[in-house]
Amino acid sequence: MSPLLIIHIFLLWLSYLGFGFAFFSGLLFLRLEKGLKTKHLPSAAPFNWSLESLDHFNARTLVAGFLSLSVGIVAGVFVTKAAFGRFFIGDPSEVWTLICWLIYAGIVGIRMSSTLRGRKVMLLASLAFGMVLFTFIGVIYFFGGMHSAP
Amino acid sequence: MKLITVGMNHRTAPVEERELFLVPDRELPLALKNLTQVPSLREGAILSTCNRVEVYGLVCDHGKGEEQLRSFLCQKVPERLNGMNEKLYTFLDEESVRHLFRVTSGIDSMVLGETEILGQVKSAYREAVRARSIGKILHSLFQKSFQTAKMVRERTGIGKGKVSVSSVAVNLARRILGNLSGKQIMILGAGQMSQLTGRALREQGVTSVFVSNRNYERARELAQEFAGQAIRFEEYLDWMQKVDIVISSTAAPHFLLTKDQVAHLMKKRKQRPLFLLDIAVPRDIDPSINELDNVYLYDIDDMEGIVRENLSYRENQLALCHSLIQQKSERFMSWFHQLKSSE
Repeated sequence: MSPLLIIHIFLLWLSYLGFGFAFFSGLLFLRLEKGLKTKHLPSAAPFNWSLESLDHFNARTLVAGFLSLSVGIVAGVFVTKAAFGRFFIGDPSEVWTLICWLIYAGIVGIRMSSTLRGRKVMLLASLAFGMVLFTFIGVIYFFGGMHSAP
Repeated sequence: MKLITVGMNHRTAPVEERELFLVPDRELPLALKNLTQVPSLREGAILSTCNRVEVYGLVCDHGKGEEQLRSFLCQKVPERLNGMNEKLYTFLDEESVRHLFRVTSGIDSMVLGETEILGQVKSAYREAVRARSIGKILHSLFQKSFQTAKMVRERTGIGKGKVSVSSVAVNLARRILGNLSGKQIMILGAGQMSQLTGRALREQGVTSVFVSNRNYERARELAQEFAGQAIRFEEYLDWMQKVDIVISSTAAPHFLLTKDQVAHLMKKRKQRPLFLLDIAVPRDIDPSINELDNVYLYDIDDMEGIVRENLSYRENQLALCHSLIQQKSERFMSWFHQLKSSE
């Protein structure tokens, strides 16, 4: 196992972790936001959880996940080059990862521009994660898993 | 020898009557000295707060003791003694112990679960110690009441949830905006509730307070109290861009903020969350504004609804509190009986 491959795998898993945290904090945000709007607060939320702190955490994990994914993809591209002679071989997992990258690039872009905030952007992010998961499952079931030859 | 409690509280007598019997702090030492002169009384303490005036004691003859303590309580207004029959209650032995434990735990207070009473009972105890009006039994009784209060508070939800509009407001602000230090607020109008809430928010670290009032002088006065800034009433909308919280309680008969105005404001603020607290009647802020993203609008009914919910939660804790207090009272009484029989 080349060190680059290890880095690639590690970074990709790190990015899933980041996106996972972003997804869950987004859900918590949506729940708290709904409670605050409808005046029926979820009683058990610990005091440190505010819309602000959840939003902040969400943004941070999102960006961390995205950066991790970006560098992980670059590492992967070089691993492919070393193994197959080309930067891209077009297998399902490559395509899937690039789709993820594009989706999250969109989300991060929207977050950074800061004109869309709060409920709308959180819904969008949760939807994005849903799409990513769906695509991931699709790859596993219809294309026989990660990095199978095309 | 019996334990006895004689007194009145906010349930048995209205404030106009209670204030006639009140023993202010500065009169307490003398009152306690007089208490020791009550013939049947062996030990005694006085608890006088805005909600109650009570005497806790150890008497050798409970019939005479009750009569004498009633006279003692009415000594400032002796002509009232006969009229007070239904307003004064008497508890003996275990009932008396239970009553003190309940009072100290905050479950006999006007605001269920309040904590101020614990300090007040401790203060009453200290004064009685100083006046040497209490002995072994009441020492132990009061100490046990403090322990019981602590246990009740720790093991039940009796103190949970906020039960005043201003503390609910602070909680909501924290839920929306997180850490309040550095946040800015605007107070429109001069209602007492808005001042209280403004003060409470200040304590949480809010740094700028902008006060606006139709009467600019009044705004200046209030702003000074908060070390804040007074702004002209015509300019409130312009300044709203900078703030995170708006508390409104003016006497205006119409809406001061419309949906369009706030939608426009939110664009300028780049959608930074805004907490609007409208405690005016009639309302100052168009309720449809709550539909806007990142704006959280609460009116007085919403606030009072939350207070009621929290009070109701506390009320549901009562059964558990009562059973804990019952256990503790029984234990105290068996100690008391053992002591009596050994002497």
